[in-house]
Amino acid sequence: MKSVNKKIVLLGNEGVGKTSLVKRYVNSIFSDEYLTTIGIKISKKTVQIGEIEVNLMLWDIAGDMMNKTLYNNYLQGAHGIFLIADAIRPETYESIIIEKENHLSIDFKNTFTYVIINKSDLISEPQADYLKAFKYDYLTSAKSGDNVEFAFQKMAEEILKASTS
Amino acid sequence: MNPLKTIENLKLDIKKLEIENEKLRHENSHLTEKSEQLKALNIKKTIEAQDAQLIKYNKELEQFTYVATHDLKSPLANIQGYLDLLEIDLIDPNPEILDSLKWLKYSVSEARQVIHELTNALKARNSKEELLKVINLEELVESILSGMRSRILKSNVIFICDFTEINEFHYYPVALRSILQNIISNAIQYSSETDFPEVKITTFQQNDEVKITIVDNGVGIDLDTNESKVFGLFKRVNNDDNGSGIGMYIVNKLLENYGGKLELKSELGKGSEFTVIIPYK
Repeated sequence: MKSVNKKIVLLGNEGVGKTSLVKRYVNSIFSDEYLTTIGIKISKKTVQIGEIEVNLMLWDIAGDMMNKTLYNNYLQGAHGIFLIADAIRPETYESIIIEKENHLSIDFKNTFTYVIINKSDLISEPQADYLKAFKYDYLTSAKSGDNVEFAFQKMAEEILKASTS
Repeated sequence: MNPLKTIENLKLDIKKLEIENEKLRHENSHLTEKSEQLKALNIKKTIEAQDAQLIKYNKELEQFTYVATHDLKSPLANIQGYLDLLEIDLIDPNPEILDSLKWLKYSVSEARQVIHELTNALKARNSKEELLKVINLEELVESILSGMRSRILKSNVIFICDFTEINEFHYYPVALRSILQNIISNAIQYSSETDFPEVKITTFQQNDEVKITIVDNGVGIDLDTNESKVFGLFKRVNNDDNGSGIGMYIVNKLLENYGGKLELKSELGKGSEFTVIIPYK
């Protein structure tokens, strides 16, 4: 069976749930204990798409690293980027949109980039209203697992489709 | 004088001498044997005395560790209590204060955990097997890095952890924590000041061994002149005044004691690569 490696980077401010999303997707676990990620953590999840075994290398990049000038180095070679925001902190959405428009759409314009709004389990009625103004690709909850598998699977399929076509 | 008689006499004398010589040789061998026995006895006595001294030192050290770990528990519990009170009493704190408070609480809880592990290690000192546990390396390294968070932030070192090849294996948690903590601490201390400081921690599994590699792009070591100093007690390399010269000695001793070895590649000005090799269980 053919096996390929694909790099997916997770970006977003501190506390939006990047590590929790990875843990939910890779280990099917969730913990309420929050510990800020230090540096970069690489995890792996193997998925089967058609006849191909895809090793997704998930680069969970600490929120504070987006401010470092050299963080571009770690995005090199990425096949996909997830920009993650916290559903109950609108400023985290604004921050990833700035990142997308001012940086990623220029330096990484050929890389699949999707916006995730995480922590859907915490959304209240008024928040549901302001979310309507946001443009996002997936609404997920690392806590309940809602849409997590689906978002990663879709990303893997898109990447594979582009590389084989 | 009859020449034949003289020859006979001489022969007799030679015979007598040979007998005397044989006797002496026998006595000499007997004496040598006795001397060897005495030497062995002396050595045995010395070893026994040293043994007794070591047992005494060991007991004192054990007692000291018990007292130290026990006496540290109470002030740490106190600090934890005051931090909880402080958190309750804070009125409208800014996020930075709340973040510092969170890390303070985390560090205290980690210190309590280390003391708990040390106490367990002491209790099980006669049976190493009891200390053998499944290690989740990601969690262990996360805990070590979090404990050093302020140093990491100050030094600007970027840590990249890749345990995708192997993350769980059996080893001794207290020992591995100390081994990795010392190597990581060194990597931060000797990180590059001018370049983009980076430390990569990766794992590999090869046959019946787990390899944990810690690679930095720091100041490096001139191994041609310093190799013997790297693992020596109170020895410091690169004319460094900051280190205590204990860390790497501890690492080596722990690996010797718990099974494993350390490999080092380094180049002055380019960085170092430490590989901890432990049996895969």
